[in-house]
Amino acid sequence: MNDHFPLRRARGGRVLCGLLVCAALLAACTGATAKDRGWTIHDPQWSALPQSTAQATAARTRAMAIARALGIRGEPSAVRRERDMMAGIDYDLVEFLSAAGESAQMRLDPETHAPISVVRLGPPDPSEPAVVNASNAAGRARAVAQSLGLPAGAEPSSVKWDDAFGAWAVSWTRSIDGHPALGDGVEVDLTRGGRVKAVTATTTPSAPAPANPIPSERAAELATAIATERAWTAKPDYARGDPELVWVRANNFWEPAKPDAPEALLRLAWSVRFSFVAIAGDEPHVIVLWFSAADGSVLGGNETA
Amino acid sequence: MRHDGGFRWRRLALLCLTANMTAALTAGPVAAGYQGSVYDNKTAFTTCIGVSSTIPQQMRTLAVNAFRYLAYTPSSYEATGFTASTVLSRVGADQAFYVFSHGDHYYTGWGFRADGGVCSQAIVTSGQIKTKRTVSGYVKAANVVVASTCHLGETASDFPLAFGIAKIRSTPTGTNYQGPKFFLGYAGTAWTNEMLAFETSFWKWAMSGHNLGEAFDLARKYTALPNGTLPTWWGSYTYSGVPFPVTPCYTCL
Repeated sequence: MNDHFPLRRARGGRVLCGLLVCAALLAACTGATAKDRGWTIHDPQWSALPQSTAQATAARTRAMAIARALGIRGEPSAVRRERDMMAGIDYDLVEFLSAAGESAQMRLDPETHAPISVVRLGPPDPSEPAVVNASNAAGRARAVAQSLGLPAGAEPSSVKWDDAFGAWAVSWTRSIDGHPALGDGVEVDLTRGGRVKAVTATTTPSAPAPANPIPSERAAELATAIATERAWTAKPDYARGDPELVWVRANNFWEPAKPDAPEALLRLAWSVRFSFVAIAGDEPHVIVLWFSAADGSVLGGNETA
Repeated sequence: MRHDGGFRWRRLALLCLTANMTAALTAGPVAAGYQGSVYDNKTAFTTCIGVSSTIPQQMRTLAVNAFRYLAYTPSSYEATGFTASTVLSRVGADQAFYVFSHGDHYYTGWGFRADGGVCSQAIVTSGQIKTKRTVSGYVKAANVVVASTCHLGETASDFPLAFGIAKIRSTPTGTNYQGPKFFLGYAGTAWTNEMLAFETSFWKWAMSGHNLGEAFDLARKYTALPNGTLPTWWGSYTYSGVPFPVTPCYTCL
């Protein structure tokens, strides 16, 4: 059919070639494109993923059961499968909106339909008496977690009142082979009235632990070498902590050219904490670096503001 | 893309409608150009510690884009452009204010470090800011203030008061509504990667049809903060963040 329009096709080809040349020149002039860098914080945070009707129906059914169990009112929206580019997770999203103005967002694992997160927005019931406190928050939160099939042991890692979020935050940090997985675990947030305000369950896939991890002493040597090279050792009140094994998602703290989203896999690393006074009169600045337990390379880290 | 979906657009439309109605009821024509200022302390997080971090610029860009989206007119400053005198020359007229820096309760009061391109950085205190914003016995209130620092969101901090934002939180039902005011900060020690992740999420929710209280709640739960970074807020949960004329704060002095 296109053969009937040879001139148009030829012109189209020339235009296309021209555009490609322009794009190549632009890329050459501006250096790497955003896509070369991977996801950046300025890109859209969510992207849509394909989903079959059967998958959507299954997710919706599960979401409605969870909503009933948690007392979430309202009708569920259509299910959407998405990827959170920053968190690096895929999920089925269901939103609930009630006539009373209460809403909730639910993210479910696309394969198992286990809850990844439930966040409730909108007004709490003003008539709720305060029934949750420091002494019973853990037990109530554990019951909620277990009712959803989430791992919550006898002793939570932390029980805190979060005033800005308006809830008791009870969390269980995930541990792999006895080492904490930073950012992973289960958290249940309960209002004083006992309403479940949020549930999060994060289980990041992990790379295999290295067969022969570098010893703690080697990590300490590497850390000291960096501290010397960056002149941290010459700063007032310099101190270095002992290396500790943790599972981390490598980030771009040490190499800003890497993508803004942390790596999708947990890796075992030696975490080393440095502190020193960077600006006279300030409290010590703290920098944490993660050294790969496999080869000692810096996987990333963090610092205080 | 997900936020083109039904609920999101309905929320956005509702917010816009509310914004237009409130503006029409309270102020007649909306004044052109609600001033916003955005500062990032690049030097403290790079030169002064020997690290080539891009987090300060990323924080600044996020805030500038968000302020622009919310219809402020932001100007941004870093390094030698971010000095105490620049802050104090502008802060009296700021309706939106953002700073990424070190913050603490210094011997001169609650405040933050100004960059200046040096490592002996001047402190800008809440008292200095309040002086610039005080008019005839009240503090001129700002709409949106973000102290992306350690400590300035703590219960004892008077930093929000310097911008006319009382340390009260309204509820999602509107109880204790504070007017179009929202302060976002951190309690205790905050960690830069976690602040970046949280603020990335917060601004994206705020620009997706959610009010600032909801944006806070969603970002709070969708961001992993394993080091204990604790975001906090004061003001009106239901405020969208768009500029409105603000009632002055008579209790903030």
